[in-house]
Amino acid sequence: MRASLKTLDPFADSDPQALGARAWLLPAVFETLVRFDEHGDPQPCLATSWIHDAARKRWVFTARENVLLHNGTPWSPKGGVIEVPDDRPLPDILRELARPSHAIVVHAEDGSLIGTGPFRIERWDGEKSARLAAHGGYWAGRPFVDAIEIKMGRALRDQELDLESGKTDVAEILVRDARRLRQKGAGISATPSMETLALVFENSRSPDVLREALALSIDRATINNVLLQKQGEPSAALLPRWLSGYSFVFAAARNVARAKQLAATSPPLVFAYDRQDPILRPVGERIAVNASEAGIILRASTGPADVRLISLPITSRDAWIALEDLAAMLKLSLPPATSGLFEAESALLNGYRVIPLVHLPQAWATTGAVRDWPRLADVWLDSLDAKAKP
Amino acid sequence: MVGETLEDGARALARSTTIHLAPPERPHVTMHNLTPLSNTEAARVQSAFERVLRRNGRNEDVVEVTLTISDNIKGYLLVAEIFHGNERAVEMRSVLSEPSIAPAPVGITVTKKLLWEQSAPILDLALVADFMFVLDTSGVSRYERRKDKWDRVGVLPAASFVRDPRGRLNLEGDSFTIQLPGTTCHGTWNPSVSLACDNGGMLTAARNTLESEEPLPTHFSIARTKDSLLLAEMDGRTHVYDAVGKPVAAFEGWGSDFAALAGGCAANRILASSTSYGESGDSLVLYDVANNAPVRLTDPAEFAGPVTALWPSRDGALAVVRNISTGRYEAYSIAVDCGR
Repeated sequence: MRASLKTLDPFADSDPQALGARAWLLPAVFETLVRFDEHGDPQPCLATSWIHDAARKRWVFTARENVLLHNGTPWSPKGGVIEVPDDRPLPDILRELARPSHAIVVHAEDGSLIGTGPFRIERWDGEKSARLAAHGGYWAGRPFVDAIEIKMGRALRDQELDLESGKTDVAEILVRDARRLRQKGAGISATPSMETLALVFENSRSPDVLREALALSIDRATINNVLLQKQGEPSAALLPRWLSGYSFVFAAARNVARAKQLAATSPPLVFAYDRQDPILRPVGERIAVNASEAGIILRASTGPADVRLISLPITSRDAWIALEDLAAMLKLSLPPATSGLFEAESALLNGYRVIPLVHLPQAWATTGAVRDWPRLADVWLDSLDAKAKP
Repeated sequence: MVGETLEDGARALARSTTIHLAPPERPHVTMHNLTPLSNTEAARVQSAFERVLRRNGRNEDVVEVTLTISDNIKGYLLVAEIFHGNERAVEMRSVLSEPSIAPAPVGITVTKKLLWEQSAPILDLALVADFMFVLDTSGVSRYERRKDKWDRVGVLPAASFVRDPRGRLNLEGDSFTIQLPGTTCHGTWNPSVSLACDNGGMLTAARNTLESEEPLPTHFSIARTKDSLLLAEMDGRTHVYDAVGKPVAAFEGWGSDFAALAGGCAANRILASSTSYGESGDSLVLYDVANNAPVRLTDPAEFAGPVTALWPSRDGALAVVRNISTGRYEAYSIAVDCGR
């Protein structure tokens, strides 16, 4: 994978660029009392049920029986229950308990991390590679595959070469390459939009009107239709429509005339993006052209910048958690949950400190033998196709 | 809301949209459909929306309103954008798919047992030994169980001519109390039958709402838990008040009938009917109220029609249902099985 993770410890800080990869891998190793299903609804995981104890003002979660940690010892909370104070509405409590920060993790004496998930960490070479081995005593049944080897920090082109040469069973790809690779015999798996390309202002030096001008200057439709070959969803929203339902409410139309008015006599902006990234580079170049058409000068930089083009991951199928994580990555304050999701997202977008551009799906190419990717707990290899190559 | 149709959602959205329209303003609605809904279905949604928004008169102040039918992983989302010049207001309404059911405590279930059915609307019913008393819109009928059959052995006329009639029957030994809208009657049934009525009581005269000794908003149902007071109020929502009567929350999803239960695992918990928007069966669910919000504790107990009455009783509750297929009224004894 492209991302590099120093550690899979749920309690460790993570580079925002690796948050998406971390959100995907964590549940395979560390589990929580509650998890979200495909509809974003909380479901039992290590807790099988929960009941309110009105007298003592608490929620009592019943621990699942017969759960073994990766080292073979039983996970058995005292009394078979976990108690949580009822100081918030239940949906907020369940949402919190589903977060990685509430995963069941044991730190062994040798520094290794022990969880209850379908895979255990057999080896972790920080930011380079890792091996996850099947947990034979997993409560929901041993995974089908014996292990998953992960190489980190691999560029997309290198991953594709690894796939073609048989060095890997799975490679991350750009969605626009899916058709080409499918014609070569690869299996293709894709998710709904799980990342948002956005411009983020990294300091408060730029006046509001200049930020708004930049937002109005961008031609999202051309970026999506030409550069991304219609694989994304142009949007001025942080959350994709499959998650919020209302992304279209945020205006994404280009207005060069208005942008010119707002940007008149404005100073240049220092603009940065990863020039090695096959998506960010052409999009960044197009943004610079769009901006210049509105009289906004973007000066390239590889270091500190006024505005940066980045990819923001969608970390959860729960819209609130996804929005909270985005706010944390952007170092912006989120209004309280009582204000409503749309109002909270509107508040983040107010002032144009962040300008969302396009939502993109994640995609992988696999050898013909791989089945049920990217659901790690369920993935298996079809032995009849085990030797098939793309 | 769960269980609501798209057209119901459109009507609810239209009601919240009207607050953005001044009296002389006339809405012009444009619809966008971003979902796989057919044109016919989308047109029905638009029609339901517009019917509630429709204004009479030849108002010249036209306000553009865009209705968008969208969706997300939880279901449909209806969005109304109201444009006044350069200003825009936004209202939304979620119409949820059936949620994945949150786990209920193991073993707690709502059970029902059919006690009686008849064609006249049943208002309340009480059982004592081998006698059954049925309060309906014509009065109180007394039945005696003979050879496993109920034989009617007496009738006390006490007609109720209110639209959506309600009534309450309490038995205390050989005497009883009947509550009808604006009237309270006291009587005896053993050894002789007698009845005397006065004005006043728990049911509002000529209405289907409840009275109370303390000043409360108009309500259809009332329930008290250890910390809260719940009222089914005129806006269709359930309002929660704290121990000193301060409003703390309001939520949707319950019908206008609910009852606080006593005893066992049901103590301090509420039995509530689901909202029914027409000719479909209601259900009863046991809820906890935690942090001023309902928490479902049991799977629904389903019925063949709408619940027309729900009263707490000594052993649980008494529910009356109008069977859609037969048109007859059915009285059920409702209990909570605590399992284990």
